[in-house]
Amino acid sequence: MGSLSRLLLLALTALPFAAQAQAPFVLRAQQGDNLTQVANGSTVTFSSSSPGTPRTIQILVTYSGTGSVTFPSGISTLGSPAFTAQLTSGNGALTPFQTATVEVVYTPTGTDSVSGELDIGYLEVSSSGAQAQRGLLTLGLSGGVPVYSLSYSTSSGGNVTALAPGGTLLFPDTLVNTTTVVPVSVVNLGGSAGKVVSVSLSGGTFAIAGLPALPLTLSPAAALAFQLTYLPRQTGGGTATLTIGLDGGVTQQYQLQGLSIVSQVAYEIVQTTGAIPLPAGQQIQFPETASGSSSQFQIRLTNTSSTDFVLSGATTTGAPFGFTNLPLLPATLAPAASVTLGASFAPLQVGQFSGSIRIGSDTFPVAGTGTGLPGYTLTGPTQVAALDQPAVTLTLSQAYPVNLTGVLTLAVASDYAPDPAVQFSSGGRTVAFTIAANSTAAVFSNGSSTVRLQTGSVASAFTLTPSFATEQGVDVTPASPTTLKFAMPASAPSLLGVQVASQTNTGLTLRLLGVATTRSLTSTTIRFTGATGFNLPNLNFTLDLTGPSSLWFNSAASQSFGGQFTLDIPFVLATSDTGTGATAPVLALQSVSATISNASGDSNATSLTLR
Amino acid sequence: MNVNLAGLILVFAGTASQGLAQWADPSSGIVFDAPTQSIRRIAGFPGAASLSKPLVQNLDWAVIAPSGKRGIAETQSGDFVWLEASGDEFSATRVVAPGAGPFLARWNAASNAVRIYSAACSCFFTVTLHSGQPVLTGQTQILDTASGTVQDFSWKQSITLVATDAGLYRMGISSSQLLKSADSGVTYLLEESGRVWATRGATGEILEVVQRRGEYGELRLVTADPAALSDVASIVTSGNSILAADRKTQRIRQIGLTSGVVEQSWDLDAVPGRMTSIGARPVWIVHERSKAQDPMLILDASNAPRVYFIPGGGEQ
Repeated sequence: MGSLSRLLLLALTALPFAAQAQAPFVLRAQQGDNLTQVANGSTVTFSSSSPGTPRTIQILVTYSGTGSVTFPSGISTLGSPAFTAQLTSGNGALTPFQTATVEVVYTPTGTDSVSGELDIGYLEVSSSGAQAQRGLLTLGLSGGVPVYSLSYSTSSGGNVTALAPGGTLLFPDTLVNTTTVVPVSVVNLGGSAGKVVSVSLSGGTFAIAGLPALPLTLSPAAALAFQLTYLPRQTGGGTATLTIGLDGGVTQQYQLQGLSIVSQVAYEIVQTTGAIPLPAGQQIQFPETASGSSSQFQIRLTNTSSTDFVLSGATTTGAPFGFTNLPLLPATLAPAASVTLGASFAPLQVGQFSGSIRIGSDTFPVAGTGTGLPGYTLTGPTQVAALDQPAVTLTLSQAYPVNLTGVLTLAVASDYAPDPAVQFSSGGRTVAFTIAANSTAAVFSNGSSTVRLQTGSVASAFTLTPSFATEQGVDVTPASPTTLKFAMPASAPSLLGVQVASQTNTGLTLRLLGVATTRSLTSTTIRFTGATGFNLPNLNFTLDLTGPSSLWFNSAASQSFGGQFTLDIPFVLATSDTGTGATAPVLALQSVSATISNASGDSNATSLTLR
Repeated sequence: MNVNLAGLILVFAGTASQGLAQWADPSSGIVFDAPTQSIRRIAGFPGAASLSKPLVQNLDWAVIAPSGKRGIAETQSGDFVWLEASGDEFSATRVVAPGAGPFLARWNAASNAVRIYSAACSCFFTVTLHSGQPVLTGQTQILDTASGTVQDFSWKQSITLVATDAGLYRMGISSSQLLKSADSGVTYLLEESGRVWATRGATGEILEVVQRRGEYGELRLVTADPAALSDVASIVTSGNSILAADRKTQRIRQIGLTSGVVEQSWDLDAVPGRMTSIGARPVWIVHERSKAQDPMLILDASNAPRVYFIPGGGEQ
């Protein structure tokens, strides 16, 4: 800003002082015990506590000149009719330092701010009496009343509710022994400052917190903030009266009302047959649950209060317990709204379990028992023979609630060399099976509820042992699983057949096919029957097989065949008749029968017609 | 015969301890194993048997001769080969086949010739062993009158009976004769010892194709028992009976040839297919496995007929 502008501003602001300097008065405003000097031309502010309540300010006009002064034109007010004025003293001439009193009364008719002007005309006569000069004293008048508005907020969203004097502030339903805090604000919405003198309560379960020192003057638009708290110690309703004392002895009263509850939500266990109330803190007992499976309860929470309920969390303690369908938390439930949680018990072992479920601020003890696999039956042979292929079944005594997988293992013990032919029909000595949930029969990898195994050809003891697991891999095999035991006892060898392996005119080789469960043979007896008309001196042969069979059964080649063998025995027919047209000697044989023996006895006899 | 041979004696050719008595690996026959595309031995006797390691691999198709010592096969590279076994060793001789697969093949009883039908060329041809070498002979084109999809055939020497969905035909070297029309419903043919047996797939009936004055022409009903046989996959003869594999009931039925009634049955753990002889003993495959972990089912009629499984899984 330039120097010329600065000079102009200084001149303008000096004008009122110059005017007052010309009026030989000192003006003071007295309001009660307060006395304030006011300048001619300034504004005097009136503040009434309420419409209809007059407020009086006395303007003391003290003559400071050297002559005398009178007020021949009297006192007048302009503007709002809420202002009235009259000269109450000094009605005659004032000499220096004498004071006249003008009483200005402001009587508001409403809450709106108003303004006016006080004019005091005077006539000053010099001390010599030679000069007389008229003048005018002017004071602006401003009047208003403070307007108090109480508002509060009870929702987490911060919505503010205005409450008229005499109204009721309804607290949110409050859990016993918990505190609900309601912020309160008293705002001066009027055009004049007001004063809050006191704030008090009657009623034991409510309290005031955060109250600043009183009295407190509230300028227009200023606010007094504090909190009201509700701390119920028992269920039921609670009331109190909030009294706000204002200047001028005015009070405003408000009713406080609260409801104390045990819980803001109601719990129910939802079942197909209906819902059962679940009081907070009550133990939830899960049904006996098969290990590897799970039981569930559906717990429904309903917000029974009149305000939003915020479910901030849900947790469990104890490994087998958990939730299955938690909503995204925190979740807000409007009044009467519900949400359903799935509480689960999934034991992985046999035994009793306990823990707790905490939903919001409520805790429920939980307990459950994990049960094991029911009994089962393995059906199959009790004793087998060589080359048997018996069937086996596996059946649970009662259904299991989840899908099971398992493996049936075949173990073999033998005093002789192990027989690799001992296998399930699917190959190997293990076979997988499944047991569908809620069924009892094992279905093997062949898609059937029976599986066959071949017992081989060596005397052995067999043991079938199952193992069980859930689809999730939880081993539910009993500690001492039931097994199926059966045996193939050592026995006399068995001949499956006798064949002619090769044949010429003068000889043939017999092939014996058989099984020796002890993997040993002692002898074989071959009996030929001569054809009719032929006379053969020697038709019966007994051959010692002790050594040869030992060589075979101890050979590497035989290890794959257990007790099975194929034995070729050559025979020669010799004749002295070699004439042309002589009958082939082999045609002299009609049939042959064979048996074979070991330490356990003789085999069946097997015969073959040779011609 | 009433002849005495002078000085005839029978002797054991040696002593067992001297080793002239020979021990050998027990075996039930040779099979083509589709899942492993190989020829394998069934090691051991039925009831304690297992599949051996592959003896010939990389085959798309093979049929083993009844002797178990020969086979006809198509390799994965498309070669058509004649297989000769020496123990567990097989030698292959390439044969130029007139057509490609799929094939139907029937060996003769002597296992020295095999008659083959090629769907690709709609023709029959025979591969015969001559002087130790396989020779292609007897190529016969399906004539127009023998049209239709070939279901099965049987053959002996120069006569081939063909069952198609158009009827039952007798085919010679250069002629074709309709024996029965399409409603004969023949789907399977079996020639054994000069007799030809047939089955009607839709009804399960078993018939004999009877010869009159040396000519086939009449179908004689052997048995019709819908409760027992309704979907016969194949038949074999055993002694004085027929063994029929029924798909619907998953059973093997033994039917008396003269009585025509079911004498005995055996349950199967799988659906039976074409019964194929696998060796010198009366043993047939009744269920060819489709997956390596599945068992194979065989029918052993060497004593009392009985069905056994050969364990699945890998080589034993």
